Amino acid sequence: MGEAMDKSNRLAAEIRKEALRRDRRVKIGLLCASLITIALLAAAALRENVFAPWRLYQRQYARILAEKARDDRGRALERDFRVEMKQVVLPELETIDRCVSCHNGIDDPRMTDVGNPHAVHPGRYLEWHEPNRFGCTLCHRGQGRAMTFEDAKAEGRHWDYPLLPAELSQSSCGLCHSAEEIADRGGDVYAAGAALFDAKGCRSCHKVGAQGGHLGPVLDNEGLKVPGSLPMANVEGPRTLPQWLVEHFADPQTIVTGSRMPAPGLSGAETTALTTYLLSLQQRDLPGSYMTPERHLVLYAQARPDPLSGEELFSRFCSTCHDTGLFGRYDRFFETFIPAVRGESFRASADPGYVAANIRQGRAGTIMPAWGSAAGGMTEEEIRKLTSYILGREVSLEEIAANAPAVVAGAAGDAGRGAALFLKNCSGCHGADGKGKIAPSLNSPALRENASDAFLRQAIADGRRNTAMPAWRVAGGLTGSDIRDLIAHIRSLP
Amino acid sequence: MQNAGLAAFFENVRNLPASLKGSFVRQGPAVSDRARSQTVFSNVFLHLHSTRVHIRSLRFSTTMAMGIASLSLFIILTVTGILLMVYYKPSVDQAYDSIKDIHYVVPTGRFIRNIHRWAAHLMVVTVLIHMARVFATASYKRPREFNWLVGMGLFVLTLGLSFTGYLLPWDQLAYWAITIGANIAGSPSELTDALGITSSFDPGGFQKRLLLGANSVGQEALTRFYLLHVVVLPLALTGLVALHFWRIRKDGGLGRPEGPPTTAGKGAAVPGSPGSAPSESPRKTYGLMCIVRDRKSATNIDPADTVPSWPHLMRAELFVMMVCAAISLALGLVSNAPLKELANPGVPENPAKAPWYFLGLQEMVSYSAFVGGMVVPLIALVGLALIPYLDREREEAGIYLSGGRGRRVAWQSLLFGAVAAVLAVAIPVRFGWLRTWFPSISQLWIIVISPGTLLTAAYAAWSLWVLKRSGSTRLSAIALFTCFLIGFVILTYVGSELRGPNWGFYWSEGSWPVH
Repeated sequence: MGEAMDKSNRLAAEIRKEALRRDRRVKIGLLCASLITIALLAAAALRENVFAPWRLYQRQYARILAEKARDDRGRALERDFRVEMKQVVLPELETIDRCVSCHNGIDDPRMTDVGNPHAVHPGRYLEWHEPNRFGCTLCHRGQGRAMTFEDAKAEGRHWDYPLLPAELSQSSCGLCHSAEEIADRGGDVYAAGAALFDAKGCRSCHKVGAQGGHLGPVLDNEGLKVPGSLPMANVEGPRTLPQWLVEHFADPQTIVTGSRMPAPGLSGAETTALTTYLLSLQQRDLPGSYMTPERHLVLYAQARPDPLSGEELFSRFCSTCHDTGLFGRYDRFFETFIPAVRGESFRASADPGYVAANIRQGRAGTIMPAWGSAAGGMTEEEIRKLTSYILGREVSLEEIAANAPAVVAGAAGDAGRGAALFLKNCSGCHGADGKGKIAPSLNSPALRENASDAFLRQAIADGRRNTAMPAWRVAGGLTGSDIRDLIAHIRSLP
Repeated sequence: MQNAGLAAFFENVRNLPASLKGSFVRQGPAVSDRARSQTVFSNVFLHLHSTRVHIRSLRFSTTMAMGIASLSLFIILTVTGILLMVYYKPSVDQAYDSIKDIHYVVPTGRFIRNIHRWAAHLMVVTVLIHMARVFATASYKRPREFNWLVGMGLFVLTLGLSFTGYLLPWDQLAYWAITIGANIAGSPSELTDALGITSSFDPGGFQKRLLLGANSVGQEALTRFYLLHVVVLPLALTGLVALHFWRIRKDGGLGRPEGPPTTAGKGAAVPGSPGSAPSESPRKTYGLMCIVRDRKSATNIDPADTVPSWPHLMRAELFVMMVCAAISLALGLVSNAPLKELANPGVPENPAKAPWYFLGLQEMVSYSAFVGGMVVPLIALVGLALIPYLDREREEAGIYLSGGRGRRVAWQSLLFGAVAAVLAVAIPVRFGWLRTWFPSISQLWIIVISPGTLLTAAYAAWSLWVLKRSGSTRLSAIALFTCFLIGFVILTYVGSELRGPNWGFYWSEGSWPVH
């Protein structure tokens, strides 16, 4: 019993010794780990409270303020300057911009001889747009909430709207101003872009506001598209929206495979201007108080366009493809002849109802868009004006509505014979199924329901002056009954 | 002459330090074993520990400290999590901006958020290593089967906490990862669709809507994920942790190798080993009475093999906690938690990846959502849960892989499991799978013959073969567990590093095609 007790005691003592040995190691380890933890906490504290970049800049700026304190105001600014986070909070714009934490001198006119980020803003822009009311990201984009420059620039930082390149800074002018009012007051690039958009006839294929063609996408929100929704595979520069727009203007086919947009052939300055304009097209809830009266009028005009004359309408929406309309034009990009809708042959034979129907419904499957109110956004009155301009005489709405083409299919004409004739003579340009190859399509509902026999007969027999359509009665040797058969076939095209 | 009351008053003021201290620290300095015991069992927070701990439990190699590490990381997560809750706003309009403000403006916000993120990843890792260690040392055997199940519950809760927290930043990463997770929850519809019964029986749709509170990830999902993440799952985890520790005590302490203590004489029957009667020790100054069943209980431990928990165990635990804190802080200092663009339902991430611990499953999900998302995890969880009930061989806990035979089986299983997993990835990548060769085959075939099912079947077959060859359930359990472990590691690596847009196989991110 005593022996067992001794052994047990000895064992316990040995175990105790081992525990103490182990303990010493643990104590040293604990000390090291604790010291490391304290060091890490100290490092974090220093990084945030001493070495944060914005603090360094603000201390620099405090010294600059001290140097430049020459008058009462300067001395007051120096006295009141505190090193702290600064921000502009604008709930109505949904922005919190902390750029002013580093750009302390952005609105101090004395800061012309210091480097960035202390320098004053170039131009008179801040005179007109007080930072406390507009912030910075409204015009420059970038990540306003960030507190370091790299994060604010947000290039390649998982931010959809990184800082705009300097030459595109005028893009936001269009949010609040009309192009005319700022053209010579700091918004020259924007105004040039807006003018180019009209001059190049972009609305023929792209809708902005209420009106435009539908061959290309609607551009109302082009300025806010996120890079993730754009095809970036062939973009060579940084994968941002502005860069995409610039490269897309240079070569639409490469950037968007299968694109039907011809290269607009812009110079460098024109590209900048047009990109600026496109970036201004933003669908956002801007408070009305931010917009100038002229801008309100522009928006109103977009929603309810001013009455344009027939000629203005033609120039804005049609001339990109039809040019003057006086002659048939071969478009090398789309590889098709475009009808001479104001040519004498057309004018002599076309009914107002036919012209209006083609404008309203377009020709599905071809590059002729539908312009009616449901699609391209034109009212009936506008279509009437356009029809008048095209036909060279005033037509009334009643005339257009009253068009009842004499559809005499079947009364004369053998569609079967007509099919053979069509295949032999017409299909080379108009396509075997009549849906149009390098010549206009013949199987559209607009044509089928609105073209009179006389119209078709004239086109086939006498051809069209100044276009590629031959006079088949003369050159092709078709007889009157041949032509009737052809008309029957055309009317039966699916 | 001073008033007696006044004198007493001033005497009391003079004694304030001592009397204050005495009311907080009741037992005086811990200079005797009795005082040390009291320090532990009279403290509400510490008395979950036993007052004495076996010397071998303190050894690092016994447990690798993974359990304490997991707990430490959980504490770090709770503290940093509560701090984040001060500024985080669980609304789809405000969540993202609140995270940005935490990062840029809130004092120490960036640091705290980084720590939280890193500690979360580390906790999943330590929990996995802890499970592997417990398995390897056979610390799940009788009487510890129930605690093994409690541990499985803790594992699932840990993954749940990590997953629910993943959604909260509401960025592209979060939104699409949880979209994947929700669609995995809805994956039974793959089976019901193939059988054509979805219109009348749709458990997949039910599960998905239960998870999201809607048909797609939105405010409802954010609210309930937030609720789960900050209230429900932490409370459940705390409760199970308490149960986990309680069971450790009741089951006889941590699993540890039996046999002589390191410095004792060899050969002689040592008090405290199984089978020997408890020796009497005059050092015992207290006694407890309890009628217990079974041989392995806390009453059969010789005090001679034990040392006071205070200070030895507490110091060791504090050391582990401090190391975990140091590591979390270091990682939080140098590496920012990711935050992508604001969640945009119109712009899917490509590739959209689940959190890393689910990437192995996502590998299998890419062939069949039902198999990878439901079947294999269920088999894995049920299999793990049943290990202590299917392997009833009596064995000492604490020896890694039960000695030489077990280690050999483990190495072989490592090799087999690795080869099988690599083939399960490589063959479909190189040659395609069923739908490449039979485009209109029924999805049922794909469910049955998918790389996930085949891999699981291969592991099961290997384990059964080991069982037959060795006649030991323990060795076959080692085989199966090792296979799943290496399979998990390899599939997670593939899913994380070798998968690019459209889940295509790419050797590096540099060769990903750009959209």
